[in-house]
Amino acid sequence: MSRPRSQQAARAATPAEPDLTPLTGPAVRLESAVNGVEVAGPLGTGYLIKTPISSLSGFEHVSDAFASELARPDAPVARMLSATAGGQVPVENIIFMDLETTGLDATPLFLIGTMVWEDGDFVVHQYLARDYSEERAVIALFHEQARQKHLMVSFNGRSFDLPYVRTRAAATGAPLDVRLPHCDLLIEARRAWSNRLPNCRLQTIETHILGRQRHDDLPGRFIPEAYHEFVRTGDARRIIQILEHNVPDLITMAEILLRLPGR
Amino acid sequence: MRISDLLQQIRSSPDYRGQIVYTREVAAREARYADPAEPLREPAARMLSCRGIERLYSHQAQALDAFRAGDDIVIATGTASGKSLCYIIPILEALAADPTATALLLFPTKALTQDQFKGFSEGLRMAGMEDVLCGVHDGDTPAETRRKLRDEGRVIFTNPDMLHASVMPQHGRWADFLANLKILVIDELHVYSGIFGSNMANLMQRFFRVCEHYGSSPRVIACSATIANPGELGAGLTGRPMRIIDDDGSPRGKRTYVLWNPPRQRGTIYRSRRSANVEAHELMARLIRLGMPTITFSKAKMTAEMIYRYVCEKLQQEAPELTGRVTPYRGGYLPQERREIERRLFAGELLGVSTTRALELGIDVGGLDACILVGYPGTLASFFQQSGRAGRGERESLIILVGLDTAINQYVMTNPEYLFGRPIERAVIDEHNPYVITGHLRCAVHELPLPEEDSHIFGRHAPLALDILQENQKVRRIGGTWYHASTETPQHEISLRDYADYNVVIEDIATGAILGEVNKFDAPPILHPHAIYMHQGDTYIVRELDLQRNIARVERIEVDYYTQPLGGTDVHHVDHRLREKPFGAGRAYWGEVTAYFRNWGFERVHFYSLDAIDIQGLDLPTMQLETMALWMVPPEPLMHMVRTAGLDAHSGLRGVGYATRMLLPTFMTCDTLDFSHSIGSANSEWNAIFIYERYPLGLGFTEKAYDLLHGILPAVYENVRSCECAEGCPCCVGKPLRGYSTWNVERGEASVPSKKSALMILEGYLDDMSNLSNPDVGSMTDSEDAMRGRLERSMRRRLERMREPSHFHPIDPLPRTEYPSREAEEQLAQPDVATRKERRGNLEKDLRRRLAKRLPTDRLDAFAPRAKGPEPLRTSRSLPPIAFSGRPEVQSEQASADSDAMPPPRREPIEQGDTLAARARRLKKQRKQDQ
Repeated sequence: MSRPRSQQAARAATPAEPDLTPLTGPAVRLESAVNGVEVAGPLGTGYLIKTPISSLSGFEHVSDAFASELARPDAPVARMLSATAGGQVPVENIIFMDLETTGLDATPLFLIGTMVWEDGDFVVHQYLARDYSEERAVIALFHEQARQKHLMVSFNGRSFDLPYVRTRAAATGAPLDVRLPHCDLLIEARRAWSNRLPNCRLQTIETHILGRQRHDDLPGRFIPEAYHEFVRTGDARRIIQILEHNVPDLITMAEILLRLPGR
Repeated sequence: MRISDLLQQIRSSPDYRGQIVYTREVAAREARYADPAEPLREPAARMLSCRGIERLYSHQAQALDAFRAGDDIVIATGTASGKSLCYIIPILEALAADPTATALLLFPTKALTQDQFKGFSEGLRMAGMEDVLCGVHDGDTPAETRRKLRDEGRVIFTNPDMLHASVMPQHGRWADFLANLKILVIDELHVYSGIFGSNMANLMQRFFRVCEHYGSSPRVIACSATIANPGELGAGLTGRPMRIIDDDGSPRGKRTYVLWNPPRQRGTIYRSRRSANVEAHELMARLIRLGMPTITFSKAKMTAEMIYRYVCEKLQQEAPELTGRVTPYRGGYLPQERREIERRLFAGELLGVSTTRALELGIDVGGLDACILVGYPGTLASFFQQSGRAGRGERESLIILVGLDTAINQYVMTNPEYLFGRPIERAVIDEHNPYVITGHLRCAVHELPLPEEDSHIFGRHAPLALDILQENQKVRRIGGTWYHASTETPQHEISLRDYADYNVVIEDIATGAILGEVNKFDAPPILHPHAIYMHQGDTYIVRELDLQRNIARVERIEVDYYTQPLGGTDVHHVDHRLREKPFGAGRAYWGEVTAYFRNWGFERVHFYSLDAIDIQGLDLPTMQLETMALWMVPPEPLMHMVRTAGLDAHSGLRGVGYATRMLLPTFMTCDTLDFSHSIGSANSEWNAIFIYERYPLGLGFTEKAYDLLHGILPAVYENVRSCECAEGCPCCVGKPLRGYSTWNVERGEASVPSKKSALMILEGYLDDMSNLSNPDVGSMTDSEDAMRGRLERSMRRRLERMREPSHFHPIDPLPRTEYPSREAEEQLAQPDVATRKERRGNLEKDLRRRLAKRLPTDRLDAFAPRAKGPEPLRTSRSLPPIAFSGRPEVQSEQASADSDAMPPPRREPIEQGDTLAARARRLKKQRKQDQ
């Protein structure tokens, strides 16, 4: 039975998804491997890992570039963000966000990554639930942070991330009343580049627009099981991979904002 | 015309041959009215006056009072007694009192959901509340509408399966709706019995837990047909005490029940009575000509279509103007078609409808005067439910039961008190069955974390089940609370019914139109190649059945015959013989078995004359069911004695199997239809009497039966011995029909199992009844601990078995007597779906490898079709070769035949780097040149 041509073509175009790279070395405890703290929120404790991005090699200039560009009123990024927010937005009032979940179907989430401006630099905040019971605390912590901001930036957050957190907040009984103006970069990227790129996935934009390739990424379909394994065994090696991959996701959003041609 | 006059007329007509064997008149009943303690509030009152209802029937008022007093209620009054009003009024009042209030209504079938929704939205309109968004949320609802209903809907009509698989896993999205939920309606409560009921009870527990999470506590209004224990069933399903309202205040016209036995015929060996279908269609045509709206219930979809066809042809001769006012109706029609028929029925445009059980539940079909039942529907509850379709309001009504030529029907014909003198059936559920709760605990934990102290709502086996689930890495205990810990969505793996999980679509080759759908277990018997498929009375021939893509292609054809599938289900082989004990003079076993569903052929039969044309072989894939079974093996010398006494031993064994199956519900909470029975298997004694569960992987009923066998079998013996029949009847050794088997019922071929032989086997097997309570072989006693250990092992095994793909595995000549070793820890982390896929792949690879060693190279492919299909058993007319896709050689033959007839159209190749526009330009140019 021959497959329709279009399907064959599509198959050839997308390379087979990479497989899981086997783990090496002994098991690693989370607390000893990452520089994080346990934070208490209104609904229990969660785990917070803060990473200032100027300390990361390859991303030293993102913060400065973004701040100076935003300060220029006729820059495309400033025009776009103030159009979304309905007024000038200082960089301190922007929150970038990205989720890691255990599935696509309203199953628990375990990591909310945000990026906010602190003391002259973008700082990635990663709120991690070290087991299932900390999910509500993590959502509450995110809520605390987000409600002080005036504009949210995400990649596909309008139809995935934000509704997802809302659903999980309802299901876990955590508060979530975030009604910020929302700049969804997927929509903007489609508008700008959909006729030039094969698709508008974050990785594709990274490769073609930012000219950057990632290596050693944990393929998305293994993330849920990696988290369950972490909860079961306490071995943090995979979860560290996920945490490491979440940071550039957030920074990439800021870089995409700078590259967008504006409306 | 009065009904007594009509019967008189029938009796005195020249071709009447004494078919009326019994009549019973049930006197009319006056309506009793009452007012609710507090008067009705505005919207409901307006709706009632709009409908022209001045006062409520007494039971409606009573229901309203009870509900307003804060009770959860179950209404169990007769068909057409206005049960819907009992929940419409409270919902309208709740909606009006609170502008955010919501209500959820559950119906067991889609058709019923649509029907009740129509009635309700009409009520809303009359009450002047059109702005309330209400709608049906089921598998047919477009995604956009679903979202809108979820976010803004206030009254939602759905079914339990949808609630289980769609709402529950993502209840967070339903948060607003659930937080404001005030009323939960469960209609047709009596349907939730047996396994479906046990699943439903657990679903309800999960649902109430989620509601509680959102701070709501919906009140329950349940409606039930007449069963023996509506209150008990309601309480079991909802876990709350229910107030029963069963004092029916609705009026009822005089009802006349007629038992109609087709006349005997001579001249054939097997066909001793005229076909019930022929009798039924004559009756139906006659009633329609008299202007009496008539509904005819058949047991099979095929029969419903056939009767419709017969009636139309008859009316064509006698009153052609009436043919347009008759229609068939059955499951498998498309929703729009069904809606249209329901509308025409209700509007009174139709005078006759030929249907199956699909119309049995409370779909409001307006005023019908007569009801014809072709064959006894199997249970009293069903009989009264179907006959209740006739006689709305105070009109006189007629119910005719036409007897089939089978033992149970003939028994009913000669013993009418079986219908009218017996208590109606009870509905039973076993909501705490350890295997059932294992699945639901996974779902419950997925939905909301479950604190350890709350697990008791799922029964006493819950802690054990949770421990085993943790072992399997499905859930995890953290700080005294259970959390979901796997990547699976358990709701999608657990079915509430033992139904097939997908459907086969029927497509018309000529037009490409989709004619309907049937579920996968029903597809091979109905839609095998060369089957005649009937749709709206037209005959179609099936050209191709593709079980890989789940599609059947049919072609319109005018033939004068129909087809009957031949085949059935039985235990094929034993996988694990896990328990064994000496029992009486023989032995008894329990273990894991594989049952096959197979259709090996079909028979072509002429319409009307019912002459068999021929029987043809079929080469269809076998469906398989892995499950648990109990088997009893009487000693071999006893079997010899039975044979030397001139009795049919096999028939007797079947009788014992049937009799045991029928009595099981009196020993445990299960339904006789949860089991099948068969005799012998590939790797057991030939005379093993298997009782096996009809639920995938089983639910432990048979193990319980194995434990209680010392009580069950003497009772079976007593029951058969004391039965008053001479040769066997449905009360003792059985009817000739089994659930999935397809003997030619229409022609009455099949024998009742031999009662004498069954009795002799039971007597010999039980011996002097002194040797019945033995412990298992290999264990000294049967202590509580031993039982618990066994349950634990078997529950663990069932979870593991769910990970094994259902494939055709090798058969051990001697079944293993121990559970296989447990799965390795690291294997368990893999999701079930992935595991099944991997194992299936491994098995096929392994099979290929082994076959490659043994076979010459040209037969390397183990899955290539055999060179020649099985020989037709007996063929008088030859048919073209059977096209069954999945058999490449047939397809390629056809393809080459086609290519001879017509050269294939020339395909323009797509060149590398060719854009669509460029290709289009080139083609255009070429076409111009060609011209």
